Amino acid sequence: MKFDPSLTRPERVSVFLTFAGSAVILSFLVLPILAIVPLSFTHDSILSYPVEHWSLRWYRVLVNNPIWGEVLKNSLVIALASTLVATTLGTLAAMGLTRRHCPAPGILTAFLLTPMIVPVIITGVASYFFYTKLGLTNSFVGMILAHSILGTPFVVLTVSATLQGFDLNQSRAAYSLGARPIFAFTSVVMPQIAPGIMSGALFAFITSFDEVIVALFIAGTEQYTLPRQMFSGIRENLDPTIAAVATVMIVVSVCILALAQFVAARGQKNGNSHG
Amino acid sequence: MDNFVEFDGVQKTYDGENLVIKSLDLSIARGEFVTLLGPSGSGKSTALMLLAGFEQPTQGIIRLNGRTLNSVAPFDRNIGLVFQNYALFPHMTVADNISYPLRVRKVGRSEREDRVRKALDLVQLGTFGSRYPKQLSGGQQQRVAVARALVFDPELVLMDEPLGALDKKLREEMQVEIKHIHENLGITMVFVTHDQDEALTMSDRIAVFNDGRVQQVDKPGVLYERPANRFVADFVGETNMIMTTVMAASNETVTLRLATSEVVTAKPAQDLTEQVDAVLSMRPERLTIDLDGLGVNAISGTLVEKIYHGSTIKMVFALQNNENVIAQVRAGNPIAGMEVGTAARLSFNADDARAFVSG
Repeated sequence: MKFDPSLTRPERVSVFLTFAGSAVILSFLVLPILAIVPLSFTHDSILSYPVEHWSLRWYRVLVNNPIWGEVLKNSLVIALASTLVATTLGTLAAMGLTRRHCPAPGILTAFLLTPMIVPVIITGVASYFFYTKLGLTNSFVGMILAHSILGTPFVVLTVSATLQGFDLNQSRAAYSLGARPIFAFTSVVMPQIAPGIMSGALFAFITSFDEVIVALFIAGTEQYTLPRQMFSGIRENLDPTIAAVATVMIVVSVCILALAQFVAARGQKNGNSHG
Repeated sequence: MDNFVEFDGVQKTYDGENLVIKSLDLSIARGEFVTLLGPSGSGKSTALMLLAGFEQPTQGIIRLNGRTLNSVAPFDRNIGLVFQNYALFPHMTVADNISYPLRVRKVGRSEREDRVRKALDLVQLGTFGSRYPKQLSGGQQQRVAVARALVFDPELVLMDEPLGALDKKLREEMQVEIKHIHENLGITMVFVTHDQDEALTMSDRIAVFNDGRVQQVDKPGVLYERPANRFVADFVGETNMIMTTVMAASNETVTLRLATSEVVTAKPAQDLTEQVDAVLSMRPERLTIDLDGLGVNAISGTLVEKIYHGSTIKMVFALQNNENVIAQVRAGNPIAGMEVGTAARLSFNADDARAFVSG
């Protein structure tokens, strides 16, 4: 480790201790998740350490068993559709909340964020009873709607944050130049808040892609998603296929979160700094 | 005078209780440069926003070229607007910013390029088309904003304190430049500022706002020399204000007694009657300093301070009741050499002093 040469000895010690402490905490957070990864490369049939023979056997099982392809497709369809719904609704809500004439924006924000705060199992149970009446259980529409509800708060948050730094005169300038509201939005507002919309959309996607609790209530076997299938798999036969699926999901999630971070960082750099 | 722009009995409230604009009747002729001048909160910016269409009048009618604007959306008004913070689109080049209103109007590509080039030349930014706004200085960004507000040949151009963010020297340059653009294009402009120098320099006429009302609308010279009330006299230019009592009043002159018992005459700006309190207003540069004590229509004072301003010197005199009166003399005037502590008579022409209703 290279220290800033201007630091005194006690300062170096404290910097070192901070780093060491942070490393321990991070390991505690991440290692349990990573522990599953080596298990997916075992040749054995039991899900346990030590791994004696390495192979891609369980990935082959994963590819060859049509059920996993089916549920992956379900997951992607539901995640993409609910991302679209959540992003549209969340962006509109955020724009409304930042309008000058918005009444009680604090209460409205809190209300819009409840799906994020209320325990998911409550959302699951509530959706189940509500959707049963509407005939939406065991349906794709039901899953998409339920996941849209979970994803919308993320979009509201990220787009609101981007709009904080957005100059409301930008839309007014567009109007004064003759642009109608929709053209003003797509040509002037959206390009500037795109980083917020993008990272909100990615969070909404991940939320749906990783979600299992609501799926337990709403999804019929036809709509089983990847996590829902894993959940069944764990109960029925605990073999290393689960570890392989888990590894795939970790990789996808990490990639999408990294993308979200990258988009947000770019947004900060290009920011709406003018004037 | 034709009423190209017309505010007819306009009122505006944001909260349903307090009127930001109490009553506004104002006519602007085609091709005129009118400045709305006033302190912050006086209603001048609100008047501009009503004209731009971002706010709706609570009462009254706004007309442009005979057409009622009240129910016309901002994007249908064909009015150019220059914002104080420029509001350039940061993700577009300068040329794209300027061509935006033409794109909206579906102007063909070659004509668009042509008009953008002309607009850039107009604001002397010929070679800057491919840059982004944040690569330009504040003054250059302001020029782009002006070009963008002019390029689509609007019927009217509004400017909301457009020079507020610029430093003094640049601001003065831009004042002259905008004035020249106005003269060359003959376009009607409404300009909002709280800077009285800016208003006096640029305007054909100035509307002075205070407390939601227009206090006076006049040419800059008239506004400065013959302010209609105490607020205008105080807000536009520097002035000495002294409390007096009216001894005699006619339409042409008024005789006033100061607290020091001195008696002077002035022009009444408002209806004044005998024995009421009145405010005497005298511009510092209209006061003559007489060391020999012979000045007529004069008040006595003792020099307490000299403030150097380069081209002028302000001489602060204390009256017998310790009220201060400032006289301004040009640098090089031998009177500027007088010593602090010297007594003198400050005389003025009755036509150059104005008497207002007090309060």
